[in-house]
Amino acid sequence: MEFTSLIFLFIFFPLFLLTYFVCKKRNLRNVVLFLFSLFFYAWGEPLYVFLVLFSIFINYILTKIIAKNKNKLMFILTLIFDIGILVVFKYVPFIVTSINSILKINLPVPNIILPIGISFYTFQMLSYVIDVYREKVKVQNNIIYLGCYIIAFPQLIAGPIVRYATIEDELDNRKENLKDFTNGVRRFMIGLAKKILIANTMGLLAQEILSQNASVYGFVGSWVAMICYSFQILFDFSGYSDMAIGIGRMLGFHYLENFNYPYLADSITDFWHRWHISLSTFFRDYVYIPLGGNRVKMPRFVINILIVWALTGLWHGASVNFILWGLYYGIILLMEKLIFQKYFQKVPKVLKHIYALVFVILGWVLFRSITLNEIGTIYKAMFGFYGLGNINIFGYINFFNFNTLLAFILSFFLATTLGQKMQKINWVITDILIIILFILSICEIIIGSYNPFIYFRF
Amino acid sequence: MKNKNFITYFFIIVIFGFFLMYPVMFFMIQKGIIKPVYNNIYTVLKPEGNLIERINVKFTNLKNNINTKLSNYLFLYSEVNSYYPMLKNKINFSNNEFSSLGTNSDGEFIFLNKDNFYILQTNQNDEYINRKMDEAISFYNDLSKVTQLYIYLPSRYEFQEFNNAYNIRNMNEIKNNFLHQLDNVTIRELFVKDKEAYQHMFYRTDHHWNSYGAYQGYLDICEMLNLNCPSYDIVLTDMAYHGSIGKMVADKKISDKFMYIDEDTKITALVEGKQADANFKPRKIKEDKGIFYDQYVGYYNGLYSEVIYNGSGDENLLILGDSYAWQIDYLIANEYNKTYVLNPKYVEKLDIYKYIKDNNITKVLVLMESQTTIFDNYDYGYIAKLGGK
Repeated sequence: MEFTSLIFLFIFFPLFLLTYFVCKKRNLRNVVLFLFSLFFYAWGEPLYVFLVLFSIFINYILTKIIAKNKNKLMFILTLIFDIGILVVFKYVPFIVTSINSILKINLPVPNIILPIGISFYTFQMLSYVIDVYREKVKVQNNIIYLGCYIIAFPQLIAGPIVRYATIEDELDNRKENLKDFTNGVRRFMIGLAKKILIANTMGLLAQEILSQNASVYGFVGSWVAMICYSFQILFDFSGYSDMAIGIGRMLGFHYLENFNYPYLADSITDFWHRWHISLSTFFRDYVYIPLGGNRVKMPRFVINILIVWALTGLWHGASVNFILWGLYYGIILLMEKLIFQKYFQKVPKVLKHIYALVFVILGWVLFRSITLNEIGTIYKAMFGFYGLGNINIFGYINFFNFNTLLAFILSFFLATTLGQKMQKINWVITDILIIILFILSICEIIIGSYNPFIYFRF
Repeated sequence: MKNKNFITYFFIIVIFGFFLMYPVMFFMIQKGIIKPVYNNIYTVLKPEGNLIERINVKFTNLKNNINTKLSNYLFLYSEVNSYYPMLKNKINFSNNEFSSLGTNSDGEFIFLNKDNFYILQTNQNDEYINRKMDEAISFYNDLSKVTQLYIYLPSRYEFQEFNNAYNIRNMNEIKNNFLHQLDNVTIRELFVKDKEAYQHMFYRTDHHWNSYGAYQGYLDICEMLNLNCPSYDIVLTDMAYHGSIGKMVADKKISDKFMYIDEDTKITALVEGKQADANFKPRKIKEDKGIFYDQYVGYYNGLYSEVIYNGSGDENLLILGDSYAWQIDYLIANEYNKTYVLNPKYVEKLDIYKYIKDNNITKVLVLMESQTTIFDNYDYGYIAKLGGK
C-alpha cells in the first residue's frame, strides 16, 4: 500500500487512527499497530508477509539466546539468516546472470519477485541483532513489540532505517499528544506534497526529455532532465521519509531525520552527511568502523572505503549501475579526503556548492539508467557530444505549465532552508499554504497522474 | 489565528470526511439516487501456474475490485476529475502550434493540429521501439507457424503521411520495417485516403477510431478473413462528447458528436469464466451522463482480460484485441463458432500456444492500436505474458 493511494488516505489511515486511539493501553495500541502494519504490507505483498513474520520470529528466538549468554555462534547464525534472506530474494538472479555472463554459461536464472522494502526491514533487523550482541540495547521479550519495530507501517517499505535504540523506550513508554500529532500532520502533508506535486512532476519531465533521442535533447535537455531527476529523487525519497516521520510523530515515535538539505552541501563528503542519513550511518557503524575505519594503513583505508561504497550501491539494487554509482562516490570521497581537502578551504563557498551539485547530478545518471548504453548516451549528451540540442523540445513536452512552475517554486523553498525560515516567521500563513498544498495533492491523487515510488524497489 | 492545531483539525476533517462519505455514497448509489462513475468492475484472468501465482492473481483481482469501488464511491470524484484539470489548463504558458498540450496518463504527448484534431505522439525512445519491435516480430512469426495469423492495423494519425509536422520520428518507416519482417502473416491496414477521410474515421477528442472508422475496419476484416458479413448503418447522435484527450485538456470548445453502429445482435458470452449479462457490453453511449462523462470503460473498453463469444460458424477464432477491437469484436464473432478475445492489457500469464490448442482455434486476429501491435507502446508486456520470447 502506498501513502499516496486513496485506500491509504481515506480508508486505512482513518480506520487505523480510530482503532489506535480508541485503545487506551499501550500494549493494545502496539497490537493495533502490528496488525494494521501486517495488513499494510500484505496489501502489496500477500505472500511475503509470511516471510516477514517468519523473519521476526526467528530473530526474536535467536536474539533471546544471544542475549542470554552472548553466544557468538548464534550471533553469526542470525546474521547469516538475515543477510541470507536478503541475498536470496534480492541478489540471486543478479549473481546467476553475472556468472552466466562472465563464464559464458547458461544457468537458469530464478524468477524471484523482490519483496517490497526488504532492504529496509532487513537492515533494521540487523541493527537490532548487532546492538543486542554488543549489549547496546536490551533484548525485546515481547514479540509483538519487536514486530512493531520491524514492520511498523510508517517506515516499513521506504525507510528511514530506524535503529532499535531510537525507539526502544518509545515502544513501551511513548506519549502521544496533540502537539506531536500536529507536528506529525504538518510533516505528513509536506511529505505528501513533496512526493505528489514535486517528485512526480519532475520525474515526468525527466522521463519525457530523456525518452527523446539524444540528438534532440542534446546538452541543454540532458542537463535540464538530470536536474529534474535530481529533484525527483530528493523529493520522492525525502517526501516519503517526511510522511513516515510524520505518521510516527502522530503515534508518539520520534524517528531520526533522514535528510538535511543535501543539495546545500559544499562537498560530496558533506552531501553524504545530509543524504539518506540512516543508511550512511548504518554503513558507518556496522561496516566501516568494524573494518577498521580510518585507523588503518592507507591501502586498507582505501579498500575499506571502496567496500563500504560498493555495498552502499549494491544495497540500492542488484545491478551493475548501482555498484558503479556506489564506487563513483567511493572514489570521489577518497579524492576529497586524500587530495582536495587541503585546497578546499581556499575555494569560495559558492564554487564548492556548484562542485558538489554537479558531481551529485552526474552521479544520478548512473543511478537512473539501467543499461551502460543509456548511461553512455546521457553522459555524452551532458558533455556536449550531441550538440546543444533542439530547444523546441521544451515546447514539445509542454515544460512551461502550471505543474512545472509549482514544482520549481516548491523545490526552491523545500530544497533550501527557506521553507523552515518561513514557518518560524509566520506559522499561520505557512500552515495555510501547507493546507493548500495538501488539497492540491489530493486532487492530483484523485485524477490519478504519474506516480512512481523510486525507493520502493530497494 | 490563536489555535496552533487548526491544521490537525483540518486534516482529521478531510480524511475522516472522505472515509465517512463512503457508506453514504454507497447507499445513494445502491438506491439509485446518484450514478456510479464506472459501471464495470474488472478482474483478471485466472493464470496457469503454481499455487503462489494463483494466490497472487486472486489477490490482485480482489485489490483491483476494491480500488475500482473506491473510485466509484469516492465523494467528489467526478467533480475533481472534471474541474481540476480544467483549472490547471487555465494556467498554461505554451501557445505554440508545435507545443504539446501536455501528456495523457500513458505519457504520450498531446497536440492540437490546425483542424482542431487532438493527436498523440509516443513518448518511447528508439531503443525501446526497436527492442519491443524485435520481440513483436519474433512473437508473430512464431505464432504464424502454428496458426493462420491475421494482423489488422487501424492506423491512427501518427502513421499517416499528412502528419509530418507533428512527427518527431518517421512512424511509417517503423511500421514498414515491422511489416517487411513478418512471414506467413496476412496483413491489412485501415485505408485512409487523405486528411478529410481521416477526420471521418477518428474522433477529434479521443484516441480511438469512431464507429464509422471501426465499421470500415470491420468490413476490411471480414474481407481479409473471407467472411460474408452483414452490413449495418452508422447512427450519428446529437450528443456532444469529449473523449479521453479532450477530457484531459479540458477545452470545452472542441468536441465530437457520438456515433454508434446500428445493430441489435444478440450476444451470449462468457466474461472471465462467468456468463455475461445482457448489459456487459454497452453498445450505445450513455447520453444522460454529460459531456465529460468517462465513456471509456463502458463504450470502448470492457477492461476484461478474456471474453468468449458464441456465434454460428464452424471455426474458432482468437482475437488479441484492445479497446479498438472492443467496438467490433462481437460482430466478427457472429461468424465463428466461438471467438476468444484476449485483451493484452489485462491478461495475466497465459501460454498462448496451449490456449490455441486446447480451444481448437484455427485463426488468430491481432486487432489492437497499431503502436501496441508493432512495439507494445504502452509496455503491457503482453508478449512475455502470452508466452513469447
